[in-house]
Amino acid sequence: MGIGFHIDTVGFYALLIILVALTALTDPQKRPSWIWAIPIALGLVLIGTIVSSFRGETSAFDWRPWLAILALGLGVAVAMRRPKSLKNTVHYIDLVRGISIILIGSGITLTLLGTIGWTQYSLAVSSLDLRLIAVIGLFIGVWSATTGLMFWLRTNEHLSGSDDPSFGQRLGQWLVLAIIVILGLIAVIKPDSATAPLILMMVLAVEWAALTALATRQENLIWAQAKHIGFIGAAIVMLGYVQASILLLAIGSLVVAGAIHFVRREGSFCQINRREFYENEHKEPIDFNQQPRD
Amino acid sequence: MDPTIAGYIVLLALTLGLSGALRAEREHCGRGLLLVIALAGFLVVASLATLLTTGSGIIMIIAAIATFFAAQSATTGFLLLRQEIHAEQHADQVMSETNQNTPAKTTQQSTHKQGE
Repeated sequence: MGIGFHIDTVGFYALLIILVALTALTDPQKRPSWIWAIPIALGLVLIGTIVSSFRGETSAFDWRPWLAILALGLGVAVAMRRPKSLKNTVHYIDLVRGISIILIGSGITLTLLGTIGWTQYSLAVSSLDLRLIAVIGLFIGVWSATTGLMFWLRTNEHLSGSDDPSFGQRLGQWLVLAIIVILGLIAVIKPDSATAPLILMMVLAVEWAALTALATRQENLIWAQAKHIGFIGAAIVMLGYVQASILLLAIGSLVVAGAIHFVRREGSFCQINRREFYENEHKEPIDFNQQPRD
Repeated sequence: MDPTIAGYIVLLALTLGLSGALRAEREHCGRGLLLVIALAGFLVVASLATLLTTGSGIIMIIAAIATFFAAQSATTGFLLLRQEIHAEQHADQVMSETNQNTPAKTTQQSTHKQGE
């Protein structure tokens, strides 16, 4: 699954652009123009990957690059159609909803990549580390996608969450997590009989994620989302290890570091004093200077 | 990949990220989170690489679906960051204008009172 030399060269320049952009983004004047460095770097890597696959084409007509372009184009088009806030105003609820959609999308991606990784590495006896990565990727994917879905349903008023979980609920959550860990370990150690434990692990992961997401306080949603972004960063690091990509290793680590910054600041989305939160849900504004934690 | 080399790279990037590259100032740490979310869009690179290197038809379709969702997430992340930065700039302008107008009004009021 290596991505080859071309992507590494392009990836090096992309990483350079990202690092320069991170420095430039600290300047408020340069910020609106320098944010474009991120999609440019990403586009550069994607083009590099597709071009290198065209070059390495062996058969007369390989439609994989075309399928890739189609999938990318459709993904971008769907994201562009999402309803946006009014110009120059971003409500907090839009951010929570937006990040929920990102969690759903990234979670599904990780679940599918974990499944692919499992089918490719489950047969090799020596690939214990790769199997472990596939199982962890599957778990993070299912967890993030379910959490994102629950948060999205909550912010769209289809579901109502509970404020503080009781002791029994907490105990139940930890018990389910312990069973998930045991099932995951069984799948990694004994890949021959891993189908049933893996399926059960994914079902329990859905249940665990739903329980946790519903028991998260309304004002802590973005804090919980930041934790999941950190886990997605960790998954990107693991994918970088599997695909021998220095770019993914570095970017994933940066994502983890950024999520740690936000989680350590107790989730206060600091521009909150400028915007309203749940316009229709709460008559009284929430005091975000006091961030209750689970 | 050699786990030691991978470990060194992760450690270096983590140090870089934790030491300040992603550390937004206190009142703007939300923008830092959105920046990180935009960076997490690089997940699409992993799914694309999987799609382009696979030989099996079913895996190709699964990887294409993964690429679709990853592209959608990456675009949404960038759009959120862009929207936030523009809104933030606008809010800064409004706040500075309000601050400039408030002392002027106070001065006018005090002058008026003195005149009376």
